[in-house]
Amino acid sequence: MILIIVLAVIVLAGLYAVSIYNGLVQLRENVKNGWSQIDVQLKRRHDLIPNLIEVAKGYMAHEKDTLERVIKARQMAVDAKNLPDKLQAENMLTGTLRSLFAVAENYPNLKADQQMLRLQEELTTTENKIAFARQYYNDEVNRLNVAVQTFPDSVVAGMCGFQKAEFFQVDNPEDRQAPQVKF
Amino acid sequence: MPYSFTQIEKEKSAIIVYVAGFLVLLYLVISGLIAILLNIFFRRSLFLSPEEWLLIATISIALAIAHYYFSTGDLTGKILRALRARPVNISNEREMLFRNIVDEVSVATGGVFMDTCILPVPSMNAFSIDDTDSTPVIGITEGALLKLSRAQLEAVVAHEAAHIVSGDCWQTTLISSIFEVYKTFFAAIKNAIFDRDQHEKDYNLLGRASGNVVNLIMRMAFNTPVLIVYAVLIILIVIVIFILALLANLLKMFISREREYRADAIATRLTRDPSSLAEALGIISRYWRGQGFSWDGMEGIFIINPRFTGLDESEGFFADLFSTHPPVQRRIDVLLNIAHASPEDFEQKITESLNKIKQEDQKEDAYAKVPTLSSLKKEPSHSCPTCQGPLKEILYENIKLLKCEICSGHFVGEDQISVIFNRRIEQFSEHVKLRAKLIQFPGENFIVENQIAIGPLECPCCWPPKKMVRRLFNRYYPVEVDKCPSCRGIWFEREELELIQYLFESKNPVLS
Repeated sequence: MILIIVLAVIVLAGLYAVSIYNGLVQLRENVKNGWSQIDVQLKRRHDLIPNLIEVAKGYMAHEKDTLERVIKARQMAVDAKNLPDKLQAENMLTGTLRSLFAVAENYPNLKADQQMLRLQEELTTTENKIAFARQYYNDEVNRLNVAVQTFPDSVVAGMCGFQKAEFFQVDNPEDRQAPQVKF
Repeated sequence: MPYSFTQIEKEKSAIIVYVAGFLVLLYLVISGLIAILLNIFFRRSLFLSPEEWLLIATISIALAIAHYYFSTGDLTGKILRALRARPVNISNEREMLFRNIVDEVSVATGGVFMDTCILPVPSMNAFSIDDTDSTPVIGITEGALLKLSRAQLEAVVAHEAAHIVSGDCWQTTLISSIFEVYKTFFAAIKNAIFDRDQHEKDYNLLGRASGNVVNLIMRMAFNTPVLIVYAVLIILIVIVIFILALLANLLKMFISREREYRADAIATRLTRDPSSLAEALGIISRYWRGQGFSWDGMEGIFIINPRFTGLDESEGFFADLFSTHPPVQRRIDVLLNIAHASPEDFEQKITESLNKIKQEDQKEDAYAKVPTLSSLKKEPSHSCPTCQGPLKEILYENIKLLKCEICSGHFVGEDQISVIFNRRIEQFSEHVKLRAKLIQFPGENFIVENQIAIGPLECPCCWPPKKMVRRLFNRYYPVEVDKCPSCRGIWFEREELELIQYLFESKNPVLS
């Protein structure tokens, strides 16, 4: 009798552990999915910037420095391989883009350019998408991290090698807002 | 996200089982009742044999399956056609913006793909639909697209996306369409029994067929004395089905209300912007939400009920049971609470936005009067009696009158008519002249005037609504018009005003 009860408890505990394991796998996949979404959007931003520079060049010949800084920051972001580098490069790119738009305020012709207007909407939506993707990623990282550290999930996580994931943080508080591409 | 796809799929299968079970039960009850009644009449016995019950069960299951497939096949397409929605045109700036916003929200949900469409109407509203086979669709009216800001649009789209990711959109879509069949059926039965006017028979094939069958049975029943039994039977059956359909309606209402709060909450988590959603709700609810369009039975899929009802705005047992949407003010309060915003500031902001929208409307010389939350209950509709389009105040022969933007009908006050007929500014089109000729010299090709209108129309300027009377303008100018017995205004269908004016001016009254 006692044997049966012990066996039953073990089987139930095993099943419970399996369900926890499945939940953790789901969370880890969500984090991966979140990261790939950020990646897609960042790539989109990298692709848009050359067009933006091309259009801006025609109007802002005197602002070579600003434009070059954007190009450099973009190149760094494209080249970045690991997460910390990537975070730093992307944050820098956001900063240079912001200064570009600040300078663009002084060029009314640029503001009225049809192609620029379209690029502006494209960039706004991409920036928003990056922000949303980051938000989703961080939410999922948060859920995974909480799960990995709380009992009883922490036991299963420890045994099966689930680890905390890193947040996609924004260094500078001013960078928390997506750059405003408003003219 | 609290909802994973696996969970949604599980819920979907549960709902399919639940709806299918409900349908089988419904048909079992109906066919069982019919069988018992027939049994009583023909065999004078109450009990059926097991074989007969088996047959009844088989028939019910077959009917339920047929019903299910009939209502769920190409569900999204059916609803989009019923709403007359059109796809987004990405070469248009504003529509591209909408597409972008939907993509953004899609990213925020973790990559749920959503389609977009536009309802080409000037009122403000938004909706979402979803079925098992196709991509979920988020739609918005042209009015909302033009008049809401980017942040507000984002909030509205996030609300609709919330319905989709939480799976309740699918539920609403299925349930609001599964009993559509009955509506057509009942409209047709009602028609066949009470009103045999050919104009009214504007239903789909199924409706027409069922209407004709009932018509035939009714005729048989009344012409042949022996078959009077059938008449009683049919009435009984109609009552049974009616009660069951009523229950079905209750079921539909029961499901809907709470999901709006939940969708608002999920939308807030998606955009982190509760104030914009509150603003959007405030603006849409106080603007024209779509009252007058034939979106009957589909209210559940919209962000705010297109039809203003007192029931929606109240709380309590009955409101919770029957209404599809919770009180707008409650929703706004909850959102303002999340945003830590003061209601006074919010009120001021909404008033400013609405004033701005109204100014723009006037600038565009848009619609004469837009029904608002406060005005809807006690003021006339000011919508076109024929097509329910918005009426716009225009100058005709320098006289102010109301014209329908969509079907070009005119509503003219009694005292304005004689003034219009005595002025000679407007030119008449060749078509009007031709129609006038056909009336003046009928001959063989006499065309009956006014074939568009259906049934008695409602006066757009009277409250409570008055039915207008269809009659000839007068003996000399035999054009059918609708006269309001209360305010004595006259509704002219397209070209009729010009036609009578032309007849009057050509000094050639028709003497018949």
